[in-house]
Amino acid sequence: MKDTIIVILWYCVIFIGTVIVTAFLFSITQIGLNLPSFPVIKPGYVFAIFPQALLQMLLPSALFALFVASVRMRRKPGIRIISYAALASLSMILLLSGPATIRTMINPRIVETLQTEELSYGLRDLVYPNSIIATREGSFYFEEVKGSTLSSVIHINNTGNSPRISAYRSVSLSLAGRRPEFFSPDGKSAFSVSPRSEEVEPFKPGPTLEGIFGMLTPLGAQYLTLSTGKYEELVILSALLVALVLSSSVFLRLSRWLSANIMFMLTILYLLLVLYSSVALSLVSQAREVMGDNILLTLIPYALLAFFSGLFFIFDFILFPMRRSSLPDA
Amino acid sequence: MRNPATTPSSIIFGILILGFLFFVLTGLIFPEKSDMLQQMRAQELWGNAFLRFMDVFPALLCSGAMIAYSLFIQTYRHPNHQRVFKAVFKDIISVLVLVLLFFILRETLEPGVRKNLQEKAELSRFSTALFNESRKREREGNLVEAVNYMRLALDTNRTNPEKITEHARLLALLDDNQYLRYKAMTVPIETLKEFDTGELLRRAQSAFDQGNYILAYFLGKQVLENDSTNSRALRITAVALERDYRSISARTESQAGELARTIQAGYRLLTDKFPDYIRAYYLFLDLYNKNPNEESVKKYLSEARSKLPLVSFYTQEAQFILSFDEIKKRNIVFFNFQIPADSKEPVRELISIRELVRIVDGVFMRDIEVIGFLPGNRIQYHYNVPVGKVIGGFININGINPDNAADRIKPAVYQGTPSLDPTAGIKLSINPDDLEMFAISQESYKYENTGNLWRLAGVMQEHAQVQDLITVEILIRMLEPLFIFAIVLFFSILGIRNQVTYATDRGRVLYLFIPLFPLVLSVFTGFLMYSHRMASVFLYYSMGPVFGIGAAVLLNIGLIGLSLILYTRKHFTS
Repeated sequence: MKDTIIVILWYCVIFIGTVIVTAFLFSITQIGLNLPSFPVIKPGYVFAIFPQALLQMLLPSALFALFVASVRMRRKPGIRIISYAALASLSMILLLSGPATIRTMINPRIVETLQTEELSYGLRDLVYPNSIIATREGSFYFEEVKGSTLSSVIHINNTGNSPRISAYRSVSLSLAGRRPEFFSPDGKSAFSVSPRSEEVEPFKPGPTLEGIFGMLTPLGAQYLTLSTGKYEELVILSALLVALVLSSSVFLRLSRWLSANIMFMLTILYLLLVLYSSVALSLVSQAREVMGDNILLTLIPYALLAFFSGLFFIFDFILFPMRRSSLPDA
Repeated sequence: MRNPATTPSSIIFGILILGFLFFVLTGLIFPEKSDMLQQMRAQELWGNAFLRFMDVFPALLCSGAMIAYSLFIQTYRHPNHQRVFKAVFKDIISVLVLVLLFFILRETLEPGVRKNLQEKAELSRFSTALFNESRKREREGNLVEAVNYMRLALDTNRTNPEKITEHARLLALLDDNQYLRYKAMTVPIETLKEFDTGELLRRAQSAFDQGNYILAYFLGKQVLENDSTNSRALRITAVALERDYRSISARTESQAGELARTIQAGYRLLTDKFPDYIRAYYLFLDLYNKNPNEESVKKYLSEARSKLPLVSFYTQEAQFILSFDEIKKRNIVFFNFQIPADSKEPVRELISIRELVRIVDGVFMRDIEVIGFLPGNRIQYHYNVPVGKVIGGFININGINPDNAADRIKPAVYQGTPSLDPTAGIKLSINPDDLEMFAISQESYKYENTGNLWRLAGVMQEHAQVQDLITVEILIRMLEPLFIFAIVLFFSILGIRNQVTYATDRGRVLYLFIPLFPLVLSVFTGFLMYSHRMASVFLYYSMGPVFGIGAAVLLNIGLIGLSLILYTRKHFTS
């Protein structure tokens, strides 16, 4: 019984740790990738983005924690049936109630504040006098700032025809509109600036990493979409994913070399999830275009997950029932 | 037999070598040909293998550490603590050396190889686009332009047999007038013996037989440029010149006198202290059109044309190159300083270039706008030039049409009198090689080593955001070796924790699964490295340069410390 409780605790600790760390990393990655929108970063932004990041990281964290807990369970299972049931129930509770709970944490006011911060881009860039500052339209430059008045200002607008460069002795800044706007001394609107929208190339994850995680994006998107309304399907998907992770732990019995078993299990899990996420889902959506909405088409990807989970369970419990001594001790 | 467990680093090193060989092998089996016309070269094979190897280097180190400790850890179950300490010390030094090797490779070889291959791939795409454009012009029946585009494609890679053949095939399709027009359009390039000699000799003989001695002479001379001992070409040029001379001598005295005076004027333009090659070229071009048989005119025309690339460029060619989407275009803004000849006060110019591209024979740019300020921010001049090319230390704005003297680029002046060198254009106060670095949007600095990044940080001091990007890139590069060291230790601990006995029951077969380790760990290490990168970016931007860098360094040292403690503890308790 002690081992069963440890497995459950193990799952909780790993899940909480993983979801917090990955959501934090997700938040700072979002900020890093959109640096042009945040020329000055405040640590508080992480908290503003955090609930959304939690929502994104819920499914991967729950599955990862389940994977780690299942490794632990294989080595010291306690009362096996209770361990299995507890892990499955905990995961199901998290996957079913998690999205709705997290969505209540997303405060629209925080999101709004963040957008207002983005709008005050012009003000924040006033910390860069005597520098060429990139904007979405081109660039701008000033030498001095006093209050809301900038002196010796050059504005380059690449979106229009030549002449693209305009020079002003001084302009005054107004934040009344949606974008920071600059007015010449006679009160006429001189120009306005927008933050750059492009991602910063040096901080992009790179093709390999994007490719590996990108293959699983459709699965994450499907999970989040289902969590907004189609609860029956959400239950099926969550149950099948939990069953797949638990059943694929059969590969931990492959040998006494635990590291190799873990690598093998991870590879199999990844391949199956890619098969579901990038192949089955896209094939079904293509078929749906031709055949129209059909309950059978909806069930085919789930059948795929169910088939492999069932197969692994049959291997694990019926064909080759586990003996306690077949795994190495810690 | 010595147990490899005494030096787990030997296993890590073995995994590194196997990893590199794997990439070389996959490169040989599945060659990456970025260009359908490009031959796979050994240099590219090694380059690609090396880059992929560098990408997974941390994963290979980690998987090596994990395998080593998973399989052979029982050696450390030795009661002699001193021996264990010695082994741990040796391990740590070995891993440090390997991490250092990674750092050195990444700072010396990798940026150069990456840049080289990137440029090659871009050039290949451009070359393919030129090749296809040439085919299109040929289908449209415009042979002269087709052969000209093929020449440009050939310029990007002069040893490609496919392009040489196509160029020769197109040349052979030209009739004599088209051939002369093509020659007049092109900046002289190194001709290729492989096709020119035989083909041109045949054309020379044909022209000679038809009584067109001047063309026969011209073509024969082209052959002699390649092969000065070609007896057939020598005979054709000599006899053609002798026959043609008779027609020249039949001209009237007055014509000859005027011609001689104009030639003399052109000659002075060419040999003056400040030569004007562009005017000289157009003058001799005009003379050539009127006196196609005059040898001295042809000689000076050829000389003037050979000097044109020093002082100008062909507008059509620049516009054509800039029109291709296959080459990366950069948008740049920078300050330039100069002292105009008619002013003692230095002028500070802001130069904004809407599009800039670099190809094999130069840097071309479109829509160059310049605004010059005197001290006190008084505007001295403001003008725009539609197209330019970097020649020497200048942005040359002398775009010309080799067929039409009137078709020359002139700046559109909005205010004042531009400060321009009449033969060279806009004098640059910065190193022209750094021009591309002023591209503010979406610039990648991964093609530079840290030393060069430091230098660029100085050059880019007037570009607020870019200087920050460079500084944070330097910070990340400096911290990454520490982080790799920490994660190698971390995976070693996992290896120790998941140890098995040396001789497993079914273990031998499982050696087949060893390739899975780098594969799976490359995902983990990739994710960890990327997270580390973004954490450094976040710390830098949220806490400012000094505190951000300090926090990032502390974070890494903390991770190493923690890993070291766990690592040594596990060694003792195993």
